[in-house]
This record gives sequence, C-alpha cells and structure tokens, in this order.
Amino acid sequence: MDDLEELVRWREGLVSGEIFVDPGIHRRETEQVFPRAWNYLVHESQLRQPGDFVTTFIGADPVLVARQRDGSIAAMLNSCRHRGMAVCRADAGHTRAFTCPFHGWTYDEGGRLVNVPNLENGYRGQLDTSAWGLTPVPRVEAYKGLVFATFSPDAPSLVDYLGEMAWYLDCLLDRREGGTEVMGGVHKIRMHGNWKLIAEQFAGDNYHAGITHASAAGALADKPPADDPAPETPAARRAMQFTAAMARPGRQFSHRQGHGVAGFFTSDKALTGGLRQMARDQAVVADYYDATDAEVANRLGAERAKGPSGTAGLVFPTFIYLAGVFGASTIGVAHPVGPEHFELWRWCLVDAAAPPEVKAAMVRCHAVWPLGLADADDGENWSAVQAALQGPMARRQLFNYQMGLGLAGPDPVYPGTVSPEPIGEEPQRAFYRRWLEYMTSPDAWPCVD
Amino acid sequence: MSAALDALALRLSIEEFLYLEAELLDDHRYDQWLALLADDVHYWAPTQANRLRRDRGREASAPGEVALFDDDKTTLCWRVRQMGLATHWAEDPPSRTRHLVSNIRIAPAEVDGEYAVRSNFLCYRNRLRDEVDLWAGERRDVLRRADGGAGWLIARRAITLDQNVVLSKNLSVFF
Repeated sequence: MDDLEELVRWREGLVSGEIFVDPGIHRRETEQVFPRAWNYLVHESQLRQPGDFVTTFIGADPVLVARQRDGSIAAMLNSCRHRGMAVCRADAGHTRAFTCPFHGWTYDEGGRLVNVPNLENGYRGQLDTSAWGLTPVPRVEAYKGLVFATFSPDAPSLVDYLGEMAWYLDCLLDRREGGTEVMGGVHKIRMHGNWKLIAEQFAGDNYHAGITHASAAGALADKPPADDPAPETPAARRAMQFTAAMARPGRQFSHRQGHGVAGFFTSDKALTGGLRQMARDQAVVADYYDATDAEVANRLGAERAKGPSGTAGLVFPTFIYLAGVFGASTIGVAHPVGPEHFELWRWCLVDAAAPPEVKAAMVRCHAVWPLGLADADDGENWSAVQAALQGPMARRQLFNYQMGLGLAGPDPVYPGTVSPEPIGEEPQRAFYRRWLEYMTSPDAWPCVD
Repeated sequence: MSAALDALALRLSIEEFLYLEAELLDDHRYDQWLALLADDVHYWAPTQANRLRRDRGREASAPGEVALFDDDKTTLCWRVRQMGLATHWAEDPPSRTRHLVSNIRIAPAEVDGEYAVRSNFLCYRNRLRDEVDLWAGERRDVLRRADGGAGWLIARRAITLDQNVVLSKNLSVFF
C-alpha cells in the first residue's frame, strides 16, 4: 500500500486495476476517504416534519438522519452505544424515539440517550447518560436542498468544498423559484463493481455513452422490432454511428476537490433535444422545459439554460446526478459494499413549482431510462470490468486515462477548470488525484495545494 | 355443475395463457410476448421500502411515485426492441431464464369480460459463466378476453418484486 503513488499516476493518466479490487485499499478508503469527505445524505424535502428520519450510509458506516424540533437536520451513527446494534432498521419514517431492540437503550431524534432500562438497580444511577448519546456526524450542511455531512472538523464549508461545482449544480437545483423536491420511491440496486467505476463515470465519462448505451438509443428508433436491422449490423459499426454524434462542440468541467461534470454540448438546447419525438411523457416534459426556458435563462443566464443543464456529474466521492436526461432529473448516491460491489440509490428530482402532470411524467421517464434502458448495459459493463480484474496479471495492468491530457484550463464562459471537448478524461484524473490525497494524507483534512 | 365446469374451463384457459406467456419470455420471443399485451396496458412494479410495522401498507411506492417499471405499450416496445439489438451488452450473449408461475387466483373484474388474476412467480436467470439471479414476487393482472390470438390480453399488470434493494445488476427481464 506504500506504493499507492505507483498505482495512481494521475499526471501521466495511468491508474492500476489494483485499486478496484484490493481489500486492503478498500478498507483504507472506508477509513480515509468517506469519513473526511462531504457525503450526500438526503434531500431536505424528504424530512418535512420534526421526527421524520431516513437511514443511509457514509461509506461503510450506517447513518441515521432526522429532522430536529428546531428545524435543523442532524446525522448520527445508526449504532447503539451499548453493543453497537442498529437502533433503526427502517428506510424512512417518523418517530419520537429510537429504541435499540437488544437491551432497550432509547435515543431521541437528536441521538440523546433518554432511557436506559435498569438505570437505577443495574447501574446504581452511576451512568452519565449525557455522555452516551449516539455518535454524531458533527458537521451537516445543505446546498439548495441537498444535505451533506462530514466527520472531519477541518474540512472546508460545504459551499467552499463545492466551489465552482455549485454553478453547474444550479442547473439542476435552482431552475425555478421554490427549488426542487424529491418524488416518493427510490431505485436501489446492488451492482457488481467497485464504487469508483460509477464515481469516475459520472465525473467525466461522456465517452462511454455512445457505445455502452448504443442499444438504449437504438431502442428509441421508430421501427417495429421485427424490422430492426441492428442484429445484422456489426456492433462496432453501429456503435461508431452513435459516437460520431459526440463530435460536436462541448466542454467538461473538473474540480480540484474531485468533482466533475461529465460533458455537455455548448450549442444544444440540451433538455428538449429529441425528447418530443419519443413518446407522450417525454413530450409533456419537453413542453414544460420550453415553457420554463425564459424563466430559467432569467435566473441562471442563457449559457446555463443550454449545455450544462443536460448532463451527468459527480460531487466527490459518491453523489451523482443526471440533469434533464431523457425527460427526468436524477440524484443519487453510490454506496460502497466492499471492494467488489456498490449500491446505487437514485431519486427523481423535480422542480417544486412544476405542475403535477409534469412531475408524474418525469417519474415515468425516470423509471424507463436510468433503471431501465440505460442501467441494464452499465450494470453489465461494470460487472465485466470487475470480473476481469480478479487475476493478478489483469489487475496489475495500468489503464489508460490519457484522453485530453494537458488540454484543460480556464474558459471564457464556463467557470473552473474546463476541457475544450465534451469527451475526455480530465475529470477522472482530477478524481483520482484527489482520491490519492485522501488515501495518503494523515491530516484531519487532506489539504489542496 | 355447469357453473363449476365454466369456472374450471376459465381457470384452464387462464393458466394456459400464463404458461404460454412464460414460454415466450424464456424462449426470447419478445415481439410475440408484446402481442399478448393490450394497447392500453399499464405494466407497473413499485419499489419496496423497509418501513416500521406501524407503517404497514406503506412499503410499496404509490401510483405516481418512482417505480421499477412504470410502462405503457410504447415504452415496453422500446424495452423489447433493445432486447433484440446486437449492442445490448446486458443480453449478448443472451441470458438463460426460467419463469415459474403458480398460486393462480381468479376473480371477476369490474369490466365485463375482464378478470383480476393474481399469480406468484419465481424467475431464475443464469448468465455467462456463473452469474445467477433469483426474483420472487406476485403479479396482479387484469386479463381481458380477446378474439383470436391467445384468447386473452394483459390489460394491467402490477408486480410486487420481493426485494428492497434490487439484488441483480439490472432488470433486463420481464416478470
């Protein structure tokens, strides 16, 4: 593990397969990366009343998140201070207290220990209950509805951590007055693959879209299944046709904290491109985007009403989003489950001010694209990477992350470090540079030079 | 006696139909499967949350909320078309599936000529060298009598998939 610098040679665009499979490296990630980074927890709209709660994870650690009586949101380890059992085993709900099923230690919505069975006769009244509350996640902050948390006392504020990434996130979060809300229901799926495969993909891999999702795009072609020429068309040639569509002006954004915007086309009015022809729900959403175009441009500026409003992105380490892709916006988190798996949790995000019929159409678009047509092939490809890296010779290979090396810099329109093409691997190199700093820095917060 | 025979004939007809459907899916004859679905079909599988016992009944996502499938005939056509494409990496090489359908319960539906049919399913998928997925659940169908074809059309299907986190790497499958 002392040779991590040899495994992640980000300056040269070289990354070893070891970092996706090695259990020791993964254990170190759970100790060094997740507790110190700002991790996505919940959307504020999911915790409307005091006592509303959700359960989630920060890396490998189980976390309980609850709305407090003063309106704030608190996060704490979902693990009893007596023997460690999870004090809450529901995904979400409303409660006044969390009672550990093992011995009955009971905590309020803020994690304070409020009842201990046999306090008088067993502990002879000597237990200082104020010292035995659930372990808090000390810092919880929100940006326009998105709630994040870190265990690090030295991390910068969430807004400083996001930096210019916030400008791009606003395309998702601040389109209209009233902001956004999350629709009920969540997609949760266990993927076979290391969590960094999806993290780097959302940070910067616009490249995969044309090939991995060739069949999703092909499925929308207006031909009956029996007449589709695809089975006779060589796969590579058909895929290249989709990739040719990527050769348009566009940009990628990468951030020193490891965030990225995977790529967008600067000339596009991205949200409605092609949507209207697809089907009824997509047409409803296209009409909505058109109707709100002027309002969005007025709030965010014309340049953000176009390109970056339709793309994928990552907030380091595991918050992912799709802005206006295929008629829906999606926010999610990729929880690591050991080195070999991750769990993808995804919600449908809508403008709070959108009419009910538009929200309903977006929910249906959300089901058919991310979990349906698109995820099917992503899931297959991630698992095939993971399976191929089980052997020592395969996992010791250095993989090529060299696309667009040296091209990124300032841009006259788009803030931050920007690459001049819509495909490239600068965000991935920035992701692994930052990952390496977390993995090797002994400080409470790995400093950025 | 006649009523009992009618009920038996109905049951046999519906069972045959559901077994035919399973056969078409397991044989990858997806365009023929599509023909079993009514043009106004709603094919829906809500998500399943873990809730406290006092919230029983609120596990499934509600209509209008996020679902695993929330399809009409058009979007099911997309899924079927994707199944047939050489660039659908998830199904190339194709998976081996086996749909087992049981516990069939039949009741008259509100519309004449339609029946509310509940069935349990177990779907096994084996893929590539050693990948195995197992899905269990219940289907609540509305079957509509149809002239010709298989004699029935699926007008509605609501699927309870008995998983919280979907434990397969995708849902490139129909239930």
